[in-house]
Amino acid sequence: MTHELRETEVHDLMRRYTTDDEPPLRLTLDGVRTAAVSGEVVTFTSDPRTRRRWVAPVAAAVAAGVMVGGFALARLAGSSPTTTTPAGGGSGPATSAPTVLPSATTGAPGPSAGTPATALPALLDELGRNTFGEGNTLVSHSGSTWTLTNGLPQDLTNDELEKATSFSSSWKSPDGKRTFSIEVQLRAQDLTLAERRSADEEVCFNAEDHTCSKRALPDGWTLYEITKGFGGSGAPPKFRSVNHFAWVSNGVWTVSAGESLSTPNPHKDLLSDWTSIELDALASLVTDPRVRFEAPDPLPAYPSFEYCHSSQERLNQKLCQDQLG
Amino acid sequence: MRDFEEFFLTRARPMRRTAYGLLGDWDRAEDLTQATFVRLYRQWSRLDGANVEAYARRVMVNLYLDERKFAAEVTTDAVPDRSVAGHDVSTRIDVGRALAKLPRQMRAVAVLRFLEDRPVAEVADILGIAEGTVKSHTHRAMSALQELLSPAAPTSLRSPA
Repeated sequence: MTHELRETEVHDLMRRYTTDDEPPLRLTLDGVRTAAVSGEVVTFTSDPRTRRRWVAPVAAAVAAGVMVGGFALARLAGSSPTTTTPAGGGSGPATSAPTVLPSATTGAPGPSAGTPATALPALLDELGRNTFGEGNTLVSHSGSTWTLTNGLPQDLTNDELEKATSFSSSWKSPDGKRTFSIEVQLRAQDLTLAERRSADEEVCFNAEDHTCSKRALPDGWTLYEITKGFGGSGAPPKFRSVNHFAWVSNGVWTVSAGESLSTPNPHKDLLSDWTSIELDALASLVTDPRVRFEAPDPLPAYPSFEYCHSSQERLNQKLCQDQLG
Repeated sequence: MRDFEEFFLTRARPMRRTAYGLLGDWDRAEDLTQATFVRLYRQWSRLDGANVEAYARRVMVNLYLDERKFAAEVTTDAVPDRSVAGHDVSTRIDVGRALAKLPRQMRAVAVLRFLEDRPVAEVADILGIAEGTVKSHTHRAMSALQELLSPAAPTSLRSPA
């Protein structure tokens, strides 16, 4: 007699298959961090355990580059950055020559346009209060540079803000459940060439429930409005949050502003009756030309994403793909 | 990065089980889990509260499907490397053998559907394939598991008469 497997039985078989003889977890949080930053990967398939270098400089620089890029990495219409060859004949991912930003061929602001970097935190604070309301609490202002320290971008002190290549500010609502933020950053000179995803895919990143629309603005800018809902696993999920952002770029600058709301109520509809800031207000903020800041002159060298494409080493290419999606 | 720490501490073991379902070898599952978390760590600031759980699955499955390091099929000899008293090891051998015979994408579907209990739409999204393909893979995986497991199906799993 043939036994007819049912799905519930397969679920049970699979669960037992992966739990009955499960060994202790050897992977550690520190191990992950070390591997992510230094490129040192512990190989568990060999015994005794051995460490091997996984093109550490590439991993560190690319990782840092992605962190500098933040979440706003999208290819946008009208951008055609120029590129330079990485120093060292392509043997490494970092450039040693000063970074050159694309010229303002589409009417976009050049790197020297905008507010003095030292004045930007105060401006963002003013814009944040005007847009998000007076009752919120400033959580952080930060200016950072894509120049790497120990493989990572670094936040700058107030005395160093003229070196900044990105700024961000965030506020909390009085009840602590809503976060508002503004982020503005210069883009890597050759980042566009290394990106594999369309802007829609990148900006409208996978979410459980989202809306995403875009509209072309004058002079090559593209404005996205993104609303996403996220939830934890399980039923009901342990957490849920929603984000609503306006995101704008012209290939040289990216600016985003929006709000995030965490709701402990798992039964609340994610996307209805929660948005407190209208798109027009966010769009007005992100397209405000004062939000752009005076870039460092000369710009610091940037890890070259072009390297990822020019490299003939599959491993290096893989690392780049891992980072850039 | 505090959220990353929390995510790692709560999800590392379940994700390693998923990796084991994909690879059938605990050591290689550990490698795949590590590679997945390394990539997540590097991209964490970009995720911006995104559905990290689903994204992590996508990263892991894509690494499993794409990376040469994880591409070699694992023979079923590696599955039951030690026995556990009170458990039906032969069933686990059969499950491992059945999974090893599935094409890689179909195996990924089987793991996501039957181990992770992910809905068809989410599996389709994770793998970047049509929902119809997920359904056909699910059906074929069920048939393959049926064929390989039925003769040895343990008493406790048999349908009631």
